[in-house]
Amino acid sequence: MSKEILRTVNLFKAFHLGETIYAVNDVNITLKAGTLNVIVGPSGSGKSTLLSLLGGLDRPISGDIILDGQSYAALSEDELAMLRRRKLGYVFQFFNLIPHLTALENVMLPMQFIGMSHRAAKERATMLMEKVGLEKRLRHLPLQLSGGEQQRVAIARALANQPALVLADEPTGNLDTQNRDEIVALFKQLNEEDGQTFVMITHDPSMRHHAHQVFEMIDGKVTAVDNG
Amino acid sequence: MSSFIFLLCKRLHRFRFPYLLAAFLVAAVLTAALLYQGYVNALSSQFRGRLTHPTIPGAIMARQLPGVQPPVVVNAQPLLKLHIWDINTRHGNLQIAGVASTTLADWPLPQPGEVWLPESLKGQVFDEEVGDTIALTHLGNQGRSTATARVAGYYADGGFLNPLLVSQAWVASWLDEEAGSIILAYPEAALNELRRWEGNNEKAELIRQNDVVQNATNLVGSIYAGGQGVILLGVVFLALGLGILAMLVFLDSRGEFAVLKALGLRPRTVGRLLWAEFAVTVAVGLGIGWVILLLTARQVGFPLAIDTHLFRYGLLLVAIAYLVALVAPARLARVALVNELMLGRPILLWKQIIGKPVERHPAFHDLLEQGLTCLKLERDGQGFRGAILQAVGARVKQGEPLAFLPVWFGMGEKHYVAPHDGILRVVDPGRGVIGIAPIQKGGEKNEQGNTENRKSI
Ligand SMILES: Nc1ncnc2c1ncn2[C@@H]1O[C@H](COP(=O)(O)OP(=O)(O)O)[C@@H](O)[C@H]1O
Ligand SMILES: [Mg+2]
Repeated sequence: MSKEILRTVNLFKAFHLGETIYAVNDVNITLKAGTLNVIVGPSGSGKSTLLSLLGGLDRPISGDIILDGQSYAALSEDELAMLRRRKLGYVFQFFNLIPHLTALENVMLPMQFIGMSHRAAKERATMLMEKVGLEKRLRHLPLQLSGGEQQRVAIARALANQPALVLADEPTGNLDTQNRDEIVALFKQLNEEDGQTFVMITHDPSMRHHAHQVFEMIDGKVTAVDNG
Repeated sequence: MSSFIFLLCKRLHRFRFPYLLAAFLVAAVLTAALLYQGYVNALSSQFRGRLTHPTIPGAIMARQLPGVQPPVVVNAQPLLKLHIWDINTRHGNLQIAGVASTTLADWPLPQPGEVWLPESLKGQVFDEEVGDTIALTHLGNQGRSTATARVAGYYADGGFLNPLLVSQAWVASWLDEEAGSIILAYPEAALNELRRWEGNNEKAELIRQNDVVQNATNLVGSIYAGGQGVILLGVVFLALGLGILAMLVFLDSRGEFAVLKALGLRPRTVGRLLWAEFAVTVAVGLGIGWVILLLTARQVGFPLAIDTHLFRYGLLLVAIAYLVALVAPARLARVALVNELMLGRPILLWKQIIGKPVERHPAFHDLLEQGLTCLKLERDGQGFRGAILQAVGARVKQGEPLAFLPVWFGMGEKHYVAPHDGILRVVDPGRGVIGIAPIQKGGEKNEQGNTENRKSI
């Protein structure tokens, strides 16, 4: 068995709108290094909420997450930001590229945050853009790119600092069939060839088929852990 | 190039409308404040120190309307007798002027170019200055006549200043006419007799120079105070305006800030981005304001006294407004979590941890009797409205969250935590209480590992 990369401990997140919604209700899961993990479940079951907790984008009400031996609960917001820039990568459903930066600058940004030199960052960003098949789109602004291309840039950006874990929330949810298949293939390739660890929310059957672990969420609880 | 400067440049490069508004707001307030100050400064510097001559020799003026007997004053002679007429000035507007008919002994005439105004009235502007020649039109019994006269000074009448004209040869014929009224100036010694005269005549009126000066001083004082108030108000509006614009930019940037934070930009750096952007915007506004100021100063021809001291004063005001305006948006940008920004959720600004049990409480008397530790939950008419995170029977550790309650539209949260290790015995949202039984000594070890039902709800 490969080494554990992330573990949650009695994770809780509730929202309160007149009544209390337990979006994440006592979740205890473990992710192993080098695996592709998929979270499935009906809409509103808490998948996105869980993923943003794993990514340190939100704080749980109680419980903890341990990434590579580091507890989130022990970190200040500042330290959590440092952890995010070094160890985590994100791919969002709506791409979320910075609109006034070029594709290349978007990919370079996380590297600049960790103090990499402009030149080294540019070199690596170009390499990553090649990897996702966009070597001809370096100077394009996000709005000049198609949805599928934007998502590739986002994936390249997520990989910028060689993160321990890449989180993706319905990364193909906003794409047409052809682009969806290409992005799915890209994720598989990155996992198989580079051993990149992923956790993603997806409704894509082939992704689910490929996953090492499938978590099924219902009403905030992880009900099934399918070790494929 | 640091990523901060890089991002700042890129953000400024992507033009946002509020920046423009902010710059012009700064320019407008700065220009208005400095022009006003420059104007007042110019006026007071022009008059200061040279204006000491009293307008009327005498402490008391007795106004005598037509048909009223003149006052009888035994121990003093009138120092000056003024016949009051309506006159037309060269600007065409009707004014009341007095024509002196007594000899103007002790009444030095102004030298050419000299300006006489009482010190207390600096800042007021008149159509005619002392020494000017006025063209007079007089409609009397003998028809219309015209003449010219020099302005010798001004006399104060109930707070207003009216021109006092020097008697010239032509005045003699006018003095046959019945004047609108006659003013007699007396020394202070005549006060008692004049009071008696005023008491006996309904149409008689006394004006004491001291009162007039006092009124005028108050008036001028309030004009100055009003000016300061206007400037202060300008700063308040500037701060409000900048604050609203900064908030707009923040709201507009929520998605971008969310992504930057997700990628690991430090919270305080995000706050600083907003500070820096508006510092640049405000600086641009100051530049625009300065140019407008110089152009205006050249246009009006009036020697505006805009000095560096004044400019520094303006800078200070703008700086204060900037600091006040940016505190809230920059703080929001700093403390907001990625999800709050990305999903447009309310931003949690404060969290209150409540872990202090109630010692004595009539409503929880029964529970306290049983030796339970009671945590009081905030409740409204329908009881506790927040979320309970633990169920009866759960084993809890000290500091573990038991319940939470969002307040202030989600901007605040109250977290109720276990005051000590124990087992939940009572969870009653209706009564608003959580009761915890301390763990029995000795039993502690045995119950370890029995954590399956922790937090199950
Ligand atoms: N900011 C919020 N305020 C209130 N309720 C929320 C908020 N975010 C999510 N929820 C609720 O939490 C539950 C889980 O949401 P989410 O994690 O987005 O589900 P999924 O991604 O599985 O569709 C839903 O019932 C949703 O309504
Ligand atoms: Mg979702």
